[in-house]
Amino acid sequence: MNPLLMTNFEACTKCTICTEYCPVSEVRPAYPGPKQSGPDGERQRLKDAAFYNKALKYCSNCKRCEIACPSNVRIGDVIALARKRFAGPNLSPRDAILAHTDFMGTMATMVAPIVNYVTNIPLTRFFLDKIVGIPAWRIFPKYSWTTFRAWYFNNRPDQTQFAEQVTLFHGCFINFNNPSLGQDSIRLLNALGVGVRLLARERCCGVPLISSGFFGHAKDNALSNAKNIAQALTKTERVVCPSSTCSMTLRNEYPDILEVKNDSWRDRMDLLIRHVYRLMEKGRELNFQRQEIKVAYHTACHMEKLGWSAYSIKLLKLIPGLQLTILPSRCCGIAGTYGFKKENSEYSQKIGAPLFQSIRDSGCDLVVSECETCKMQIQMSTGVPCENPVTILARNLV
Amino acid sequence: MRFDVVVLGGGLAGYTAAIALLEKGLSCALLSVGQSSLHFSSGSMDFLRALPDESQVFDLEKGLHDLARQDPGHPYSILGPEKTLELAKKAETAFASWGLEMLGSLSAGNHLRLSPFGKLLPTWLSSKDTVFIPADAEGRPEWPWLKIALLTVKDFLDFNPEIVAAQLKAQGRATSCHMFTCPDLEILRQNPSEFRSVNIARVLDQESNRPFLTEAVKKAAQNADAVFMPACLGFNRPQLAMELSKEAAKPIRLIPTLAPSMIGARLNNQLQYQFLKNGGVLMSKDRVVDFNLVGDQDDSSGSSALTIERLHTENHGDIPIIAKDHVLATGSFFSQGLLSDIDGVREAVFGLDLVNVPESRSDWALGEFFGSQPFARFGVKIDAQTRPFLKGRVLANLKAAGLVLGGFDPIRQGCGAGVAAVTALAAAEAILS
Ligand SMILES: Cc1cc2nc3c(=O)[nH]c(=O)nc-3n(C[C@H](O)[C@H](O)[C@H](O)COP(=O)(O)OP(=O)(O)OC[C@H]3O[C@@H](n4cnc5c(N)ncnc54)[C@H](O)[C@@H]3O)c2cc1C
Ligand code: SF4
Ligand code: SF4
Repeated sequence: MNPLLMTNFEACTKCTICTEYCPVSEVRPAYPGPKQSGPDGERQRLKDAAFYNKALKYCSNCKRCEIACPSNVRIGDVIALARKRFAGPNLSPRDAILAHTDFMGTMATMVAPIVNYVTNIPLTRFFLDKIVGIPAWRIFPKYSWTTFRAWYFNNRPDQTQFAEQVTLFHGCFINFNNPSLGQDSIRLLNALGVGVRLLARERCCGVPLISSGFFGHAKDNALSNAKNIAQALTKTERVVCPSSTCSMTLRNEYPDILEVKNDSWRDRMDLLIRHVYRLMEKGRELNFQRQEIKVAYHTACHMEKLGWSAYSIKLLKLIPGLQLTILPSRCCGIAGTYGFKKENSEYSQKIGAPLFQSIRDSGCDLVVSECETCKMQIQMSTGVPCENPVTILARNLV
Repeated sequence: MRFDVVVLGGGLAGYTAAIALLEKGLSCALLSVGQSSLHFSSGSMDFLRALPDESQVFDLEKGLHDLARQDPGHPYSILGPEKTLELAKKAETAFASWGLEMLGSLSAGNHLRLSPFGKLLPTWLSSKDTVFIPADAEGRPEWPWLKIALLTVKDFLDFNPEIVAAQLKAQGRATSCHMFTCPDLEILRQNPSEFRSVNIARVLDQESNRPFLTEAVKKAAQNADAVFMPACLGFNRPQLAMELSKEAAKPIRLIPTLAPSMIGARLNNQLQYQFLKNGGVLMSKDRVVDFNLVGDQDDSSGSSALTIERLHTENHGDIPIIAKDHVLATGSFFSQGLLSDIDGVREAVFGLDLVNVPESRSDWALGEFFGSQPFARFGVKIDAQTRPFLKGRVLANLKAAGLVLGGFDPIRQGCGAGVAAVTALAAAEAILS
């Protein structure tokens, strides 16, 4: 089935509600907006590919338009599919660097201290800014010295002692930049009596490739991951992932954009926090120590799309002493690798400004979000630390 | 997932019920498939404008009693005029405490607002930055201003200054027309189909564009008692028109535009903000796909009640949503709370019993487009506790509110927001008792 036919684009009533909620249109008047880029433009593109508008690359793929649409048009998908069909290959070396997170991560991890040092010295920043097109003030994620996978295979606590097992899809960020979130994931699942395995082989979910227009490579990754996930599900009941973006990509973008079928396993691929909730509903218990802390919950765009923030909110409330504020759901502006590109960076900060203000106004000590790039953006822009709910739960276990 | 109450529908009715329940300490989740019809409304809340005998209403208390006689199937009449009055007053206080800055009141009777075409329409509550014209006991306007400057955005198509000016002149107002633009608007305008009220407001609300706005407003205000502008500013900054009024030393007031409506969208966002602030759990873009009823389903006498045990939704899959009570506020055809096809009309979630649907499909609509359309009165049947029915049986832990209800014509009778607010508070009361 042609994926475009599944987007319901013919149901558009031209109400423009989608544009009201598009974070990019708000700050970038030259972006045609979701209605024009999506269902309206599609009718023209179907007649003639010459109607394809290059400005579609300014869409950050946040999907907030789809969530607002009263007529159930999958606008973000219409735009992504148009880019896939018409944009042509992306020849920018900068975009290739940003998009190939797994390859770059593997290389960088081998020489992590050098990369971490080099990417932050002024001369490199000057070069990155002027030649490559990554703004000088952007803070780069630190690369870890060993990958999460290496740690898992060499130093993990014994997982075979648990009768029940799940498979963890860790994603690139845990593997190369933030292995401690992977370790926290294991600690939390172990506390619930569940052992953790990894996929035989895991590739980047593909989301940075999709947003930079490397659809072919994204599909290769998707096919490989789909095969490995299906295999893992013959041995464990579920595949879980702490990241909202990876989870959304595996569940939605594979069939909707990349045309990689997942109906045989989609329901068994879950956000880690939702699986924790599921286990607790079955009677498993977690005991938390008291922590007097003010926490603000940020609903990442792809978390909004999954519709699962309620699980994180419910679980965070179990920590005694934790005071929770729910921030108004707004895009932080980073949208994966979007904000790392110089032509987007100014807009990226403008998009995020109202969210940053609400974080400051909340007076919180910590922001919680399931998205790794929101974490980078929020920490850089507000100075307030931002963690995955898994980390907060795992670190407060008694 | 367990909650005290689950509300289906994120419009005026759904949010009003949900916030009222949250304020009483109940835990509450709200599911909505998309944005609500507030985005298309004027942003003024109508309570009751006309009776079935076509007479106009200004004294609202008297209007409710007349309505009870003329139209016993109207939701106001089902609740009873006294109860309706009590709940509407409660709604006024609640809206004010939720930060919706509205002018008008039940005790003062209807005031007049301007339609996008400059027509005077009686209404109950209007945002404080919109054109508010007091009316006397016969409904005649008591104009506070004689000379009016109409200031519009260049090439904005959802508001026609000439038509509005003609109407104002017919009202004896000396009216002048002015126009302005700024570089950011010129960029936005390159995309004519997106040159709409809220998108313009998001540009004009930016601090960097303030000087253009101030200058235009001051110029227009020079020889006028008041400046009227189409409602395309103040979306993120609800005080903007008031701030401009200070700068120009004349009242700057907004007139709703054709849809989408900035004022309505802003109300929607303010309600959503209150809902979250009170601890509500918002489930956007989700819908019920399955539900489970308990009770004697085959009870032929129909006297025993059924209860909803759990809901299954699109996003939550196998994890059920379990609540002690539920509110259905999914709106009408426009929001797809009611669905129609060649076989008939049905309520979208539970298939509840409907009122006012004629047997023959040819009786659903009148040839005259602006006539009192029968389909406008289609909707869910309720009792005085706002409980709906399924095949004649009461659903004990479900209440229904707002536009999904049957028995009234929100457009002809001018009572849409009033019914939404009053029935939502009635539903909340029924749940709390
Ligand atoms: C075009 C238009 C203009 C109007 N103008 C005015 C006006 O100027 N003044 C006035 O007083 N009244 C006006 N009305 C009437 C107005 O609709 C009511 O005043 C009031 O806003 C209705 O609120 P509601 O919450 O009942 O329904 P809605 O605002 O329709 O909200 C229903 C909500 O339920 C959601 N929903 C639908 N199905 C499901 C489902 N299965 N599961 C979960 N969620 C679902 C929808 O997405 C929507 O968010 C207007 C109505 C329309 C359609
Ligand atoms: S919100 Fe949906 S229906 Fe409205 S213009 Fe956008 S795509 Fe079309
Ligand atoms: S996906 Fe996000 S950025 Fe793209 S059109 Fe939709 S709302 Fe705008």
